[in-house]
Amino acid sequence: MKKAFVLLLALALAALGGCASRTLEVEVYRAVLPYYLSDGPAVRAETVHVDASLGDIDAVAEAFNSAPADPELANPLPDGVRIEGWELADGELRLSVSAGYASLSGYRRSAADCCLTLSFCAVEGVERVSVSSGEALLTAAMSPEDICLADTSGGE
Amino acid sequence: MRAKGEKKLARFTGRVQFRLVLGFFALIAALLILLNTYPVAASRDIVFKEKESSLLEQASVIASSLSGLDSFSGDGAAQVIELLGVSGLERLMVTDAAGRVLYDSSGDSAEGKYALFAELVRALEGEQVFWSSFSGGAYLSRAALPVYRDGAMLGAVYLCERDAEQAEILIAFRDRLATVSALALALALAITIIFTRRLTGRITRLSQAVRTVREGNYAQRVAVEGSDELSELYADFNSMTETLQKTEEQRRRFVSDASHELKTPLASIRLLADSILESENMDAATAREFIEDISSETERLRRTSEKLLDLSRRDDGAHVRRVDVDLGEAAKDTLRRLAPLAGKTGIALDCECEPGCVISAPEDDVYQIIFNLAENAVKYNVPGGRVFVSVRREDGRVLLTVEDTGIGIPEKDLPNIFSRFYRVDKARSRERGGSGLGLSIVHDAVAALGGSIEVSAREGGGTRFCVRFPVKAKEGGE
Repeated sequence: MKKAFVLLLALALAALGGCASRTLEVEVYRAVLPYYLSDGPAVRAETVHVDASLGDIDAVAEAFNSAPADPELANPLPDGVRIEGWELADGELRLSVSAGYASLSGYRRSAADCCLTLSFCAVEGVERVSVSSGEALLTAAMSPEDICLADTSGGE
Repeated sequence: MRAKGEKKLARFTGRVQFRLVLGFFALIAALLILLNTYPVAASRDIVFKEKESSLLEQASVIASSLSGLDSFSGDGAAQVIELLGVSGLERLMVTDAAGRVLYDSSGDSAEGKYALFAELVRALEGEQVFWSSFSGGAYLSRAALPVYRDGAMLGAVYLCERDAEQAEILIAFRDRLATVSALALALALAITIIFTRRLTGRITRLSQAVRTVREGNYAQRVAVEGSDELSELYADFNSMTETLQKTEEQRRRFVSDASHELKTPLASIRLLADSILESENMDAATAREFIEDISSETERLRRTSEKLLDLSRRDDGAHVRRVDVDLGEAAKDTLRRLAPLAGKTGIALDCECEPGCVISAPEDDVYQIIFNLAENAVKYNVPGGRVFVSVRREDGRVLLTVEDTGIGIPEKDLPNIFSRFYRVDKARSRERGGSGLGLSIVHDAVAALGGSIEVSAREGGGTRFCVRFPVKAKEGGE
């Protein structure tokens, strides 16, 4: 009886340990806070650990929705806005976001679009990313080629 | 082998010359680094300021012109830029408020793309941005300004300039400065090595001379050059070795003289004793005369030995208890003891003493001083002559004067009469029982009491000794 209890305990611990270690490292792009902007790109990648049981796109969406760990970075999505769903067709990933996304304007909107594009285009099979909220298309399909992160014209 | 090498290295690095050279080298190198860094940095900062002013002005003119456009588009921006005749820039970009590039002068155009450079984003936040660096043989400067119309942001202007010409001037200046500094460093190092070698060479010479003296060669001298501290040290060293040499010569002469003085009566005693032993038929009167001579020589030997012991005791600085001695009373007492000797040759002894001439001294020493001087005055006097002893106070000291009307001392002998075993007339001195040590003892005893002694020829013949003693301090600490 005692032996069986010890065996069960060991199995439970092993199972718990196995679950805990099953995470996936995902790189998502964040906006650099204006205070920390000196030179270089205004967006930067951050590694986030997510549940490995999620699919690739869901894992990136989960990571994107999380708050950044680096204090120099900010989530480009406005407060309360989340990626709610997605649809992939012919290499184009159509992301469905909360309605609050439409409140973004100017370069902040561009920064959010670019962060989404750079983060999701790293997933195999995704070539372009568009953003919609409900039935409304907020951002037309973009690819990483549409984004210029640094000026290398001066030789740097 | 390794330990030997380490020892050799430690000896080399421990040398004064090495430390001096290293110290000077570090100091000069630090100064040169500062001289190389500061002007270059200052020049670079001046160029940065100039670039900031010119680029922001240029960006401001473009932004101002763009804000007047009816349609803020790529074509409109291209027309304005062409109209302004902007040139000399590596890149000129115009973006809309979302950061989308409307115009790009670069060959690898980013038109239609989103530009997310820090400079542009900050400009789109409403800031005036400038950034500059000096690297890769060029000044790279970037400026960005927001474009407003009626308070609303239309977009931003971004300028990038690469200036190799000014950078070349700075690089040439930096290189020239580095070359001059390297030459100056090499020159300073060479001068330091020469200077320190000269300095330590002099110390080494002195050190070698010290070693030579340590081995017993007191004639060693070092040539004094210049008037610096080392030259003073050289002079002091020479003076010290001179004193050592003189002391050594005196010691040798003393040993030689002492041996001779002890050997002479011993030889006489042996000769007289052998004569008695070898002469079987010697009459009693002759034998008695020989034995009297032996006794006389033995007495001379005893006196010499006693005096040598006395001098040795003084040389060792033996401490003798001091008491209050009335010099006048001591002088009178001494003359009384010499009266029989003086009476033999009809010499008159006169004494004139002030009362209360008290000094603090060992009593035996005082008596010895007066006795030796007065006995010499009697011994080397002429029959029927006169010896005059006086004691008085003079200039806060007690003055003892011993004068005689005797044969006197030649002028050339006066500086040496206090030397041990020095005799003016050796034959006559021995004949009169002199050991050549009496005046030496007087001199040393007077010096030990803090006094002084002078000798001079007396007018009308004879010699005068003047001895000055410090007066005994009065009770109560005076």
